[in-house]
Amino acid sequence: MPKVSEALLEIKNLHTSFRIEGQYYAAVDGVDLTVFKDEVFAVVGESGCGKTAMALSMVRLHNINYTRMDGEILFHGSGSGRPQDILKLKGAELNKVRGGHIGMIFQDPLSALNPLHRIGQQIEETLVYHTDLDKERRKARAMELLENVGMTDPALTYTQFPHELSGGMRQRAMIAIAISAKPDLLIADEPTTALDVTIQAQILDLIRALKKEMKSSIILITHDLGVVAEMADRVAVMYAGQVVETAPVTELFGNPRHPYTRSLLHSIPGAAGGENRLHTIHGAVPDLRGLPRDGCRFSRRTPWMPGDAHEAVPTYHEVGPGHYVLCTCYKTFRFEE
Amino acid sequence: MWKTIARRLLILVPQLFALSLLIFLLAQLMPGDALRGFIGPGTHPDLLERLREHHGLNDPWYQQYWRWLTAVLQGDMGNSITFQRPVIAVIGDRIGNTMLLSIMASLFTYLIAVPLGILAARHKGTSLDRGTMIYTFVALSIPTVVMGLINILVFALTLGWFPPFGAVELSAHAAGGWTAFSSRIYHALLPAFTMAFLGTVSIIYYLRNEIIDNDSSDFVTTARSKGVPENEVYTRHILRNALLPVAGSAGALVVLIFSGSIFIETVFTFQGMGQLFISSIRGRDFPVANALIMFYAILNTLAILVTDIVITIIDPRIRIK
Repeated sequence: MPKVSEALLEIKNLHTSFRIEGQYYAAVDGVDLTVFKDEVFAVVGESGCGKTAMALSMVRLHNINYTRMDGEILFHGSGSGRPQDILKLKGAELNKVRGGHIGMIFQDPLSALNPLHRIGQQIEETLVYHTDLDKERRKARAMELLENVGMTDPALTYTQFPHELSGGMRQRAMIAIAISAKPDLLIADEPTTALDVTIQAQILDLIRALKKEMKSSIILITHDLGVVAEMADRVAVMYAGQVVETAPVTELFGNPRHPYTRSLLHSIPGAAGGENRLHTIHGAVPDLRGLPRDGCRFSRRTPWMPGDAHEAVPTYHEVGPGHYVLCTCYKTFRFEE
Repeated sequence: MWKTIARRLLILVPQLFALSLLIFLLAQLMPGDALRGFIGPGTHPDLLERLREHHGLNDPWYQQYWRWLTAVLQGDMGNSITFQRPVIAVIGDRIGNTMLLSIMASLFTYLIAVPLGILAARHKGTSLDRGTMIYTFVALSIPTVVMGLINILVFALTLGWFPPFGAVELSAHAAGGWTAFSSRIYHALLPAFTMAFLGTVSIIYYLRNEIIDNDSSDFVTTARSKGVPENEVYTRHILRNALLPVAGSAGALVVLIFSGSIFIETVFTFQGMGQLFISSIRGRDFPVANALIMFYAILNTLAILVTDIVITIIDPRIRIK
């Protein structure tokens, strides 16, 4: 996709740590990322890799009582000339960014909507804080949004409660909330995971159409590589709190380099080509407290690889235009016989 | 919503009917009959038999039930044996005192419990939270009766802040009007506080846990992601959802307070229905006891009904289409 690559969100050396029994453990452990304007940036990885922890860090939604964050999250939003470091924003400034410049879509639309408020009220709540529309205009805008997200009867949905809607409709309502203040960036955390397959496709179509219309960027957090192939412009693969590979989407699928990326792609049913047994990745993502903190973190799951294939302190290697890989083990990696 | 409420009200009719049948049959099962109080050593069995026939006690139970039910529906609950007055009048003298006491106790319960629950949750893990938890342990472990005696000893007899017994000063009662009313309130303060003590425990627990749970729930994260200021997140999203189970337990609490008044009124020699209930059982005054049992039973049913309606109004998920 040819476009002028202008940075919208720059994450620099981000660490997000959670306190467990008095000690802090980093779930996001030194992430550098840049999301450009008008692109869909996907973050993939198994459960427990730190994807959601990172997504919530971007607008500081973690409970501050047991979370520590270091690094920089520079946001080049519309309206302000200079980039803002989200991690340094004060309460009121942060609330302006939340919902106003960055909209969030969550995984489970039932639990993500307040069960006691009508859909219309939940959309208007965002408008109250981010627009100066009066009551009547807010209602008109909410109706318009409900129509935009494909509700067949906006006037009815406006007065309904979340439990009265189907899963797909709830996610549409959630999207209407997220886009209501026309944000520059949408962060969608596994937006289709809780939905069945046909609804998934509809929701993805909707997100794509809205993105085109609003000219905003999307950060798409997912573990579904099919969704990535369909939606993303660029992809970051996360493992154990780190980004192990970033690449444009065609490059990532056509020329995956990092052992973890290759293992993930190899594990897609039907993608292994002729093999009867489905490939699985050796072992599991370690628990946050047991996360390896030194060397190549994925090496524990490729025990057949010789130790000298890895760097002692892994660094990023540029293997193509915009294509970066962590550690040197990509050079000699082979699947286990 | 109105459909749910209408349906709930319709169910009330068979409920109350079944209740009256149950109470009547339980009374029938009690040893002896209504003539028990008249029997003396010289009573002739023929006289008893004639009296039984005269009062219809030899009729089948359903005829007796029907007579009783129609009388009750017309407000005739019979006469008290101890007081030799209509049951309705005897209860009528006491009901105001008990109502005042129970309303005050309920009020104190919520006035103490809701702020404490909120504070404990918002300052989770601090000494304020721990202090509240210690309070709940103490309140839960001291029996209400013992608590009443301690309060009488400390606040009434030693400090002299409150009267140790009675529901109203006789001179104030005679004066009537505001003097009588304020005297009633003054007399009800200490027993009401004593009753409130226990009731606060469950509300504090519920509220504290619900607030903490809701604080990390998905829809609260959504609210924060929308840029809603923290105070508004708290009142509009966390608190309202956290109050649901508290509202849901309100009916049970009112019943708890009314039945608690049975003991507290005895401890404080407070002339209310609870004290009347104990004395009527002791004095085998069955017309009064039966009427009171019925009163408590109906109160229970109504409390649950009101709770259901309140929950229907505040929680849209309960409503029937």
